[in-house]
Amino acid sequence: MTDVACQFTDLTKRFRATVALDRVGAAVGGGVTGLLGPNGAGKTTLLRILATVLAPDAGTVRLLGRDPTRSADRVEIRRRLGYMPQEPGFHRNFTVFEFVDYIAILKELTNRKARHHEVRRVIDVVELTPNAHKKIRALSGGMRRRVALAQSLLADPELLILDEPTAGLDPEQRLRFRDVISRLAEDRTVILSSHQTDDVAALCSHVLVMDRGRILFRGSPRQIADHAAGQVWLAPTRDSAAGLAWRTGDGDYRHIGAAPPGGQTIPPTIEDGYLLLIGDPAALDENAA
Amino acid sequence: MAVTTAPRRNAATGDGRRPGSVWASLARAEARRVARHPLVLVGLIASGWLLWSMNRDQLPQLTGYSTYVGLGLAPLAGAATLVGHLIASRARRHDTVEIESITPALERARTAGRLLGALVVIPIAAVMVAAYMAFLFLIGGAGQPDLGELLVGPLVVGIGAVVGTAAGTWFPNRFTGLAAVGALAAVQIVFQDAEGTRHWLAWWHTVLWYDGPDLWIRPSWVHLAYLAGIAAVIIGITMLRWGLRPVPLLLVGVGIAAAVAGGIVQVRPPSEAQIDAVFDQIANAPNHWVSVDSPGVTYRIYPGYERWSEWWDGTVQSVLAPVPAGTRPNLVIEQWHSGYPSQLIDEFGYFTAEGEAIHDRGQHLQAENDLYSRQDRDPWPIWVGFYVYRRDSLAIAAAQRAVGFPLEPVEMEGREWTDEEIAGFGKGPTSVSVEEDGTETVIESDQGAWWPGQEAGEAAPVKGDRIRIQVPCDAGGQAREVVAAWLAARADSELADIYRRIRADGPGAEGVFDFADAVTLDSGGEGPPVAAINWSALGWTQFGSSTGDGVRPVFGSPAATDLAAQLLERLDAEITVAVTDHWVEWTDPATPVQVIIDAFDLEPPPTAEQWLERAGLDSVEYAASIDAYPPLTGNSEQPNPVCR
Repeated sequence: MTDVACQFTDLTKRFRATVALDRVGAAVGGGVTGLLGPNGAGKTTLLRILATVLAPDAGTVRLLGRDPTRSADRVEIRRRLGYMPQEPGFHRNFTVFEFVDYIAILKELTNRKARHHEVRRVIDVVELTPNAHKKIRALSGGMRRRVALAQSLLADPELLILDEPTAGLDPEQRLRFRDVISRLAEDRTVILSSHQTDDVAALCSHVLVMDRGRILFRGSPRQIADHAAGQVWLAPTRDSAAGLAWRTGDGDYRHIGAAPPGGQTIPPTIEDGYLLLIGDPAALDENAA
Repeated sequence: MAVTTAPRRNAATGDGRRPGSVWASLARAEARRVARHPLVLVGLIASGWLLWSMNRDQLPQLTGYSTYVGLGLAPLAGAATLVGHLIASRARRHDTVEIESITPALERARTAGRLLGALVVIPIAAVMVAAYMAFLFLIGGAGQPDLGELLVGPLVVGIGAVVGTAAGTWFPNRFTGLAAVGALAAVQIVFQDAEGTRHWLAWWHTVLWYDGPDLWIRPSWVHLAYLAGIAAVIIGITMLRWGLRPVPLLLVGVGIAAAVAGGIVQVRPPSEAQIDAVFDQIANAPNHWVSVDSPGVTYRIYPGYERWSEWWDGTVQSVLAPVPAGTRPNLVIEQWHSGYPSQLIDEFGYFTAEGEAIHDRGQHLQAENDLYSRQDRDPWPIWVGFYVYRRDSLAIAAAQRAVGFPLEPVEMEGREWTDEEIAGFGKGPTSVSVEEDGTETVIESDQGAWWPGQEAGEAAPVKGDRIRIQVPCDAGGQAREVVAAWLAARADSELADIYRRIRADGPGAEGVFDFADAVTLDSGGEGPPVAAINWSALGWTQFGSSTGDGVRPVFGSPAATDLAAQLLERLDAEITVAVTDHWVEWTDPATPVQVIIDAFDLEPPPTAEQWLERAGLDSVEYAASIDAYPPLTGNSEQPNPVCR
C-alpha cells in the first residue's frame, strides 16, 4: 500500500457559475480520513474527483501513485479503488447477489468461480448473506446502503472512498457500519464524508473540514475539539452573546462562542469545534491563505 | 460484524482477474438475463403461437419457409429489440452510471458485452426454428427445407437485438426502444411491397396467396449476407458511440460492403436458365410429377411432396368409405403451383424480376392452360395446391366426385361479341390509358393477334358469333347434394362444425364462403356480394368452379348443408348403412332431396326468407340488392344448366 494514497493540489471544479471546489489541496495516507462539512461544502465533488468520476477543471491529483488524467493510469487506479456514491442507484430487479456479481464482472473478476467467492465474501462482510437472493427493490434503505458498500469492497481495494456511508441509517446500523469501516481501514486508506461529527470522531484519524468549496481545517478529531477550547460553557440562562446556545437535558444552557469572564467552561467536543469552524468566516480566509 | 479480507490480488493479472475478457463475462451474464427476460418469454410464446396458427390451415410445408419463420419470429424480434434497448439503457434508467463508470471496464467493453449478450436471442430463435421444422416434419411436412431461408428468422431476431442495443446506447431514454421496433417494422412494410425484386430487401419474404416456395428464385445465402452486413453496420455504429476506433470502423465498412453487395445480388434478375427451369416446372408439370397410388385414387405430386399424399388420402378414403365397392369413382388428384395460370404469371413476375422477360414467358404456360381446360380428361382431376388447400375443400371435392357431380365447368354460349371486341382481334390485346383531362389512349400490345381459340387454330370470331363461356352447373335440389355434403362433413370434423353453425345461424354468419363479409347488403356496389347472396338465398350450388382451385369450392347449398347437419346428429352407422344400401337411388340426378328428408324424417330446410332471417338480412333489402347486381353467370344469358 502506498503511504500517501491520495494527494491533490489546487483542485478547482466549477459547475457553471458555482465554484464547487476552490483550489483545495491535501495529502491522505493510511487509516480513515473524514470530510466534514455542511451541505454544499464540496465534499461530494471532491470525493467524485478522487473516485475518478469527475475530472477537475484545474489542479493536480495523484491516486495510488498514479495520474488519473492518463487513461492507462486511470484504469489501473480503478482496479484498486472502491467507491460508494452518496445516492447509489441499483438495478432494482436484480437480487443482491446478481447486482454485486454484475459489478464484480465490471471490476474484471472474470473467473466465475473466483468471482462468486468474492461476491459471497463482500456480501458476508456487510451481513447481507441471508438476503443475498432477495430483489434489491424489496430491501430497506439501510440494506441498500450495505449493498452499495459491498460492491465498493469488491477486489479488496487499496483506496476506499465512501460518500456519507452512514446517512439514513438507524443508530444500530451506524454502529455496524463503523465497525466494518474501522476494520477495513486497518490495511487500506479510507476516505469518507459525513455530516455526523460523532462518526468522524469515532472513525477518523484525520479530518478535513470543508465549507463553500474550501478546506477550513486539517487535523485530528482531537484538534478540531481543541479549536473550541475555552469557548464552550454552561450557564443556567441563555447568554445572547454566545454564537450558539441550546438547553441540555440537565436544564443548563450550553453555549459556544467567546466565553464571558467567569463563565463555567467545559471540555469541548469535536462538534463544538466543527460548529465554531464553519461559523467563523475568518477560518475560511485563514485556511484559504 | 466480522471482516474477512480477501488475499490481495495482482491488480492486472492476479487470481480471478482477466482484464481483456470483461466483455465476454459480461456477455454471458447479460445473455442469461436476456434469455429469461419476461419480454423474451412473451415473444417466444407469441412466436410459437404465430408459427402454429400460420400453419394451422395448411399442409405442413418444409420448403423455403423464410416467410413463416421470419413472420413467425417477428414477435421475438420485437421483444429482442426492446430487451436490447433495456439492457443498453439500464445504467441510465437505474442511475448506476456512477458506480459502473469507476470500474476498470471501459464503456466500449461494457457495450460490447451487452451487444453480445443480447445476441443470445439468435440461438434461442434457431432452436425454435429447429423445433418448428421438426414439428412440421413429424406431422407430415413435405418439401426440402432451405437452410438459408430458415436462418433468416433468427438473423432478423438478432438484428432486432442489435438495433435495440444501438438505440439504448446512443439514445438511452425510454421511448427509443419502441421507436426502434417501429423502424424495423417500417423497413419490412416498405420493402415487402416494393416493385419487382426489390421486395427481397425486406427482412423476410412475404408469401402471396397463390405461390409455391419452389418457384422462388433467390439466393438465400446472399440474403443472409445482406442481413449480416446490416447487423455488422449497426454493431459498428453502436461501438462508435465510444470513439472512432479501428474495429468498429472496420465493422461498419465490411458491413456496408456486405449489405450493399448482398442487396444488389439478390435484386438482380435471375438468369434465363433459372427462369426457364422454374417455368418448366409449371408448364410441364406432368413431366415432373410422380404418381402415388391408393385404392381408387392416383396422386400426381411434385417430387419431395409425396408425404402429402398420406395427408390427402386420409381424407379421401374417409369420404369414400360409405361408397359401395364397384361404384367408387376413380379419382386423380393433381398438385399445382397455382389456382390459375394468369395469376401465376403475375405472382411469378413478382418473385423474380421486373420486365417483359417474365411476362413473355406467360406464353409458355399455355400447356398448363390446356391441362386446365381440356374437356376430354377422364377422370377429371381434383386440383390441390401448395399452401391453401384445406382438408375440408378436398373432402368436398372428393364427395362431389363420389356422388357423380361434375367438377368441370359446363361450356355455354353467352352473348354475342361486341363490335369493339371483334375489332380488337388481330390487333392483339389493348389497354386504355385515361389522362387527367379525360383523353383516352388505346395502347396496343406487341404480343400479336389474339382471339379465343387462337392456339387451336380456329378463326377469329366474327359478327354474330357468341362468346363461349364456362359456367358451373346447378344441383337444383338433387338428393345426391345432401349425400355429398354428409360424406364430406363426416370425413372432416371442422367441416361438420361449419355445417352445424350454418344450420344454427344461417349461412351469412359463417365465414367459410370467403364471401361472408359481402353478405351484408349494405356493403356497396364495388364488392362481389352477388355470389354469396345468390348462393345463400336462391339455394343453388355451383359445382365445377370456373376459376380453378384458387377459389375454394362451394360447400354445398344451404338446404343440403342444413340436411347434412341434421344427418350428422344421427348415429353414423345407421346413416352409413342407409346411404350404402340406397347409394344408386340417392345419387341418381333424378332423385329429389325430399327422398332423403322422408327417409330420415328430417326437418325441411328453411325457406329463402328463413335463411335471410338467420343471416340477419332483410328480405326487402335483399330483393333490391339482387336487382342491383347481375346474376353470377356473368355474360351468360341462360340460367345455369342442371348438373347431370
